[in-house]
Amino acid sequence: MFEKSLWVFHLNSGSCNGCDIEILNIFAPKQDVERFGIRLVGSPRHADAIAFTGPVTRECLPKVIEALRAVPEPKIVLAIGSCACGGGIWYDTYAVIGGVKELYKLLKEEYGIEPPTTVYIPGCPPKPEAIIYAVAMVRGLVKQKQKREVYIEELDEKTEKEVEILFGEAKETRHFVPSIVVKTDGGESNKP
Amino acid sequence: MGRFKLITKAISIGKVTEKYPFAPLEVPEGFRGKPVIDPEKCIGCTSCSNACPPQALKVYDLGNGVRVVHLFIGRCIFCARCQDVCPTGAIKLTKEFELATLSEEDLHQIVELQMVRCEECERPFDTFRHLLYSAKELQPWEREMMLLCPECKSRRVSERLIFARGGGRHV
Repeated sequence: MFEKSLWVFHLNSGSCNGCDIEILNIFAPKQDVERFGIRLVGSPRHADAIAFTGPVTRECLPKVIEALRAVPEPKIVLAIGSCACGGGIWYDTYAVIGGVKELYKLLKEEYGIEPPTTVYIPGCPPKPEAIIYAVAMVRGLVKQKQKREVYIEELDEKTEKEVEILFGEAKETRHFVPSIVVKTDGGESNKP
Repeated sequence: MGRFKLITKAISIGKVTEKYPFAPLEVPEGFRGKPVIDPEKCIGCTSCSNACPPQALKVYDLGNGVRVVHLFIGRCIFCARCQDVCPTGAIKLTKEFELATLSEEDLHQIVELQMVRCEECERPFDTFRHLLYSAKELQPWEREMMLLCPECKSRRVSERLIFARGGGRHV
């Protein structure tokens, strides 16, 4: 997608600083992402990508929208951490919007902005290598591994037979529980 | 002379940068990565969704007799509580950490299980696998009312109690 150097603006929207430290880690000598031409820049106007952390608190929502609108097209958002991907542990709190998905809904309803290309990086916090993997995926160096998995159970004869055996046995041995037949005062017999 | 010492030290240590995306990485022992549900073992007992702090694992019933175990990895905080509480060991945290995706759809894992219908009111109330799992723990004569939904079960028990207290005697 992006074949040339990515310049990244780090946008913290109320994160706990776990993910921010992992972002700083990837610029350190051990996981050196500057070998892919990635740099942290100080202004969103210079950036191609946004390293987005945090579940978007209400207090910083206007600033987040301002920063997102300042990034020139074509842009890409790296949603880093569980909070940015789906709200994390604060997904239903009153002070929090709940991740980039809800933010895009707001952007589309209020400002008519189409959601930018987003790379979701789950993890709490994600390993620095997971962020490098996402960046390499954007650059086209590796392929996506994670896929949607759906399993639908189909009833086979074995299950039905097992049900018959287990509960048929129960019906045969019902004499252990005395079946109560009661006569009321009126003389009519009731069978429960 | 300090700078000369620094240069010699840097040369003696050599490169520390990992070759990560081009070479595989070994994660340490006990690393908690992507949670995976084994669909053959899952019985749909909802203990994982009760234990999950951010509700990344949800268990809900569709109306047509299907119970859905829905895992959304985008919200998971990798605490491994589901692994601790699972009675059959169906959910396990692997060492997979390369989870980046371009669409949110790819972060879901869905397991759909068939449900038993009540003998009296035809309402689906429990999965086949959970019923069989719990029935094997019981004695044969204790399984008498297991194919009834909780409402029908309580009604039948209370009917019996009413008849028993009605002052009648065994015939």
